Amino acid sequence: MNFGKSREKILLSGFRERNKESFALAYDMYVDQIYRFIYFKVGEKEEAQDLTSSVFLKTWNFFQEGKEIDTASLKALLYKIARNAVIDYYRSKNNKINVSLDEAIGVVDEKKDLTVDLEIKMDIAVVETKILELKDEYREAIILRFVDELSITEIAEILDKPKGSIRVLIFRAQQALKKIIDGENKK
Amino acid sequence: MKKELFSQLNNIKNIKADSDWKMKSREILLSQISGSFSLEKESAKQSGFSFYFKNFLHQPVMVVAAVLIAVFGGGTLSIYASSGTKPGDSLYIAKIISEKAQLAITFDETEKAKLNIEFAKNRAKEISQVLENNSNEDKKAATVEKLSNSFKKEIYASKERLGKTNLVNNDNSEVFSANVGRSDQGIEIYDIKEDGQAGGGEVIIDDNVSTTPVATSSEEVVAIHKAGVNEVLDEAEKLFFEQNYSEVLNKLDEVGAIINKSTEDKSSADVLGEKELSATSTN
Repeated sequence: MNFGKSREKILLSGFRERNKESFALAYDMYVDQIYRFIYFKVGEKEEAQDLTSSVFLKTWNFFQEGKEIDTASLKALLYKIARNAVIDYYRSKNNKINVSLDEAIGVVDEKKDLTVDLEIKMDIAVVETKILELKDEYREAIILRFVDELSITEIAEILDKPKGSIRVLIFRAQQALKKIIDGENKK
Repeated sequence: MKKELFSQLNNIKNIKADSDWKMKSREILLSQISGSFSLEKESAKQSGFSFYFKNFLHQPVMVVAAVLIAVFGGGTLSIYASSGTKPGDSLYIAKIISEKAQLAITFDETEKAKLNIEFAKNRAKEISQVLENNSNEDKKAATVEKLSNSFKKEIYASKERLGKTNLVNNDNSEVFSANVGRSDQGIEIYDIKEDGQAGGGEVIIDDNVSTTPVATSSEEVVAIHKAGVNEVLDEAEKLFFEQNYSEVLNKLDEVGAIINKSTEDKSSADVLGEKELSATSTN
């Protein structure tokens, strides 16, 4: 039995029925993912926080306005809205902001054991140099698939592309990342 | 190497939002969505309406009470948090939703007019903030124009609403009196309609009635009205277009004070009028 899909259906139903408890649950479940997704795109903690809040509010309002929403997954809808929010943000700022993970090193969970924390920070530092070299489309695909562990179906909905295209995109993103690593290794 | 990299990617999951921010944002968002609940019957009838309320809110009065609590109780934090926001801030939408929710659940036209004035003040403050901002000039101009239009709409709405009430007549003539029809020979007993307007009634001739009109308080009310709420609103608009936003706020505060005073005096006059009536009827 796919509990994930059932859970998504229940959440969606709760949002449609303007159930506050559903909103709270969805927030608790997805706030970190949405924040991280946005953070990797805008590169600034405060902006990412503001945008994350606006994403949840906008998602709620979508249902409030009684709009027909064609989605089987609340999570996918949240990501879609997050993506659009970032696009609007870019437009308003009128520049393209490269993701910098410098600040990310500061936002790792402070409660973790220091050793683990250091390892994570080193990993992030390593990833930073690799992922930043990828073009935005590939970086997005890598993050959604391997960090946020979304399914192909969910990514297809978020990026509004056919599943086949997503598979190809992910494959190419992996190849591009591998090429960067191999290139790094040859130095 | 590939496995190692993906393992490293996996560690990125440890990047999380700040715990304090998460908690505060959660509270603010929950209070925002509470404030946006609609009073429309469809919302109340929806089967998915929180199971807490389903059994409790079977009476219409409880629905109204619950929404009032949700907006004024639950909305307080959000109104506080979003109160200083301006267009472009992420919580600005929350501020606008709060304003609309407040209007939706206010039934009295005078109170609605006061809300319109509050919102006009908000627009004036926001324009000041936007003008101080170092953002793109074209964008600034577009935002200022939108806010100016919104300000005008609020002032217009306020005038319209005040015109409907019996506190202020648009031509500033004497409309309200608790002593309509008082004559030297008697008093006219009248009904107070639900909207506060005096209705018709029968005249009771009473030679012993005092010919001195009780009218002092109602005359005061009229005098205050004649100070011209509309004139002050017009002055506020003029100052707005002269970009003297601090004076605009002062003028709108003045309007609010006039309305409050008028409301108090009207209540006093009503009480005085009722006392007179009951004194006459017992005599």
